[in-house]
Amino acid sequence: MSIKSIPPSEVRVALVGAGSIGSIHYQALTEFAKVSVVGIVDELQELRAKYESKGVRSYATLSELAEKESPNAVLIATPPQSRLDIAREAFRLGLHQLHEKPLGFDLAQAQAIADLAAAHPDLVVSVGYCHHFVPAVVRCKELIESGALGSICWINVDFVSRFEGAEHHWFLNKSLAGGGSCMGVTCHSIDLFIHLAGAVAKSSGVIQHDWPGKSESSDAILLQSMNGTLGTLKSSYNSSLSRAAFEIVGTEGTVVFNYDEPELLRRISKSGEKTEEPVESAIFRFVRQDQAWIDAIAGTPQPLLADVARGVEVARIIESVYQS
Amino acid sequence: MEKVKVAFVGAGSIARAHLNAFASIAECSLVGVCDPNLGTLEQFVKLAPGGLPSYVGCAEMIEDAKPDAIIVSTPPSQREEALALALAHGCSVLMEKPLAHTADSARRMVEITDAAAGVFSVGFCHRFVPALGLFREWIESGKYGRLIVLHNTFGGHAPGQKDHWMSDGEISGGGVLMDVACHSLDIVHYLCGDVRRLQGVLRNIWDGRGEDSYCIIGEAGVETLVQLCGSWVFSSSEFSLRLRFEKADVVYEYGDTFRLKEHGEDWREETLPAHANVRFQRQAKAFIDGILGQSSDAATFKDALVVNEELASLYQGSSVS
Repeated sequence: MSIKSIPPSEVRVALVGAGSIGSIHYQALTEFAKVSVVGIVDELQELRAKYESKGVRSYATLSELAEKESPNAVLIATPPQSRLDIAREAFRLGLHQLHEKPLGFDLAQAQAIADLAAAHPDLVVSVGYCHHFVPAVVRCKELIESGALGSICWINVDFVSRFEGAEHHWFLNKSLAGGGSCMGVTCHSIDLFIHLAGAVAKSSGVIQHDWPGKSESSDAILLQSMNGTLGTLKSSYNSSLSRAAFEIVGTEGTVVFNYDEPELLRRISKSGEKTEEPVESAIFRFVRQDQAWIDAIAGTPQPLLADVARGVEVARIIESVYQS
Repeated sequence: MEKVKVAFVGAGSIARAHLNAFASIAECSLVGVCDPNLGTLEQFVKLAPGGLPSYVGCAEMIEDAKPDAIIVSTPPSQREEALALALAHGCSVLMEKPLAHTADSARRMVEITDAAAGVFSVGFCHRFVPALGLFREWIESGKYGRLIVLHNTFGGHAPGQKDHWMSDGEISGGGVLMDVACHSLDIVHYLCGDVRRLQGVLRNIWDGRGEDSYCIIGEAGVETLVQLCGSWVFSSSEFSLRLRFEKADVVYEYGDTFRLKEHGEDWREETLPAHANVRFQRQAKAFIDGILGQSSDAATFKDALVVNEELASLYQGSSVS
C-alpha cells in the first residue's frame, strides 16, 4: 500500500511535548519547513503557556487537540514513558508520525510501535535519529561507500559533557526515561554506528551510576557490525571534559568530526598527512530531518529518515547493554 | 662486584631492542645469543658491541656461556621450553610479553617458577615509560582526583603482520590482541589495580589468521572506565593514552611531552624527564637490579598470568557471529 500523501501546504502537525526538544522541532517546522503546527500538547500548563503566549493553541491531550484541530501528522517529543500511548492514539487517528529518539520506553514498547506501524503502511512513521542529516555524516557515508577510507576498522563516538542538574532532570528518572545516558544519548551513537557500519552483530557495555537512585550517568558501549567493524561509544551527563565527536578509522584513511567545529571534517591520509575539508554546518540537522519528514509525507521517499525498524534495532542493543 | 652474565634466547627485532638496552647497563655483561635462524643470528651479533658468541640451540648456549640470566624473545609457543632450560641451570629470566600463547602455558610457568630461585620478569615495558610512572603517582596521590576514564589506543599500519608468526594462532596464541592488548591490559593494572567487567570485540579480515584489530571496554580501580583499542591495519599510527581525572585531562602520545588541561585552565604542554623509548633500558636496569637484590616495578610472572587469563576470557567471549 502506498502512503497517504499530503502536500506540505496541507500538512497539519500536532506537536506533543512542549519541552526543549519540542521547541526545536516547533521552530524547524514553522520557520524552516513552513508547515502548520496546529497546536501543541503537554500535560504541564507552564510549558503550554510558552506557546499560548505566541498564539499557538494548546491542549492537555492529543485526543482533545485532534477533536478541535484535525491534525494529519504528529511529532512526539515527550519523555519516553508516554510515547507508546500517544502513538496508539496517533495510529487510531491515522496520523503520520515523527517520534523523538529513542523509540518508545524500552524494547517491548519500541516493538509495539513498530507493529502498529506495520499495520498502518499508509502512514509515515519515523524516528528522530537526526545525525543522519549532519552534512559531515553524509560526507563520511559517501567516503565509506566509495572505498576512500578502505576497510573500516573502528568507529568511535563520544558524546560526553557535564549536564548541570542532570540528577534532577527526568533524563535520569528511569520511570520516565527508561534509563539514563544510554537511553538519552548513546541511542544516537548506536544509530550513528549502524548508519555508517551496518547492522550490529555483537553488543555489550558498561554503565556507571554517579547519583544514588538515578539511572546511569555514563556508559561505554562496545559494538561490532556484521561486516566486522568495531565500535566504541562513550556517553556521559557527568564528564569533566565536554566532547561531542566521532572518528572513523579505515585501512586507507581516517576522518574525525567534532561537533564543536560543525563545519570542518578532519582527514588523515595513510601517509599521516592531515587535511581539513569544509562541510555544511551540523547545527541544522533538526531542520533537515523535519523537512525530510514533511517531504516523505508529501510522497517523496527520504532514505535518510530513520524508520521504526532502526528504532527497534537501537532499542534491542540498549536492552542488551542493560543486561550485559 | 661480579657482573650479571646475560644471554639472549631469540635474536629477532624485539631481541635487538633488549640488546641495546642491556648493552648500556654497567652491571651486566653479554655472554651469548641463540636463534635457529642463522641470518637473524648474524644480524644480531653484528649489532652487539664487540660481537657476541652465537649458538643455534638454547641448551647449547646455556651450557657453554653459563649465563646468570636469559632474555627470552622467542615466539610465545616456544617460551615454556626456554624457561625449563633456564630453571635447570639456575638462570633468572626476562620473558618477552605476553608470558605465553595460552593461559594454560602461562599457568604452568607460574607454577614451576613459584618456588624457584631467581628473578622471573615479563617484558611489560610500558611500566617503565616515564610518563606512566608520573600518571601512576597522580592516581595514587589523588592529585587530580579520581581517574574517571582511561582510553588507550595502540594502532599502526602493519598489514604485513598477516604473514608473520604473530598472527599464527598456533605460535602466538592469536593476533593483535595477544601482541598489543597484553601491553594495554598491563598498563591498566599498573595504573589502576584490578580490572573488572572486561568485554572485547575482535575484527578479523585474514582468513585462518589472528585478529587484526580489537576494542576492549571494562572497569578498573575505583570505577575507572577503560577503553582499549588496537590494530595492525589502521591507515595511520596512533599510540596514545588519554586520562580523564576529576580535575584534569591528560593526553600522552608516547613522546617526551604530554598535554594537560587542569579544569578551568587551557591545555598546556608539559615536558617529561625522558622519552617513552627509554622503557627497554629502564626495564633492563630493573631486571638486573632485581637479580642484585633490589626491588623494582617489573612485571612478575604472576602479573603476566593475570593478563594471559584476561586475554583468554576476551577470546572466549569475543567470537564473531
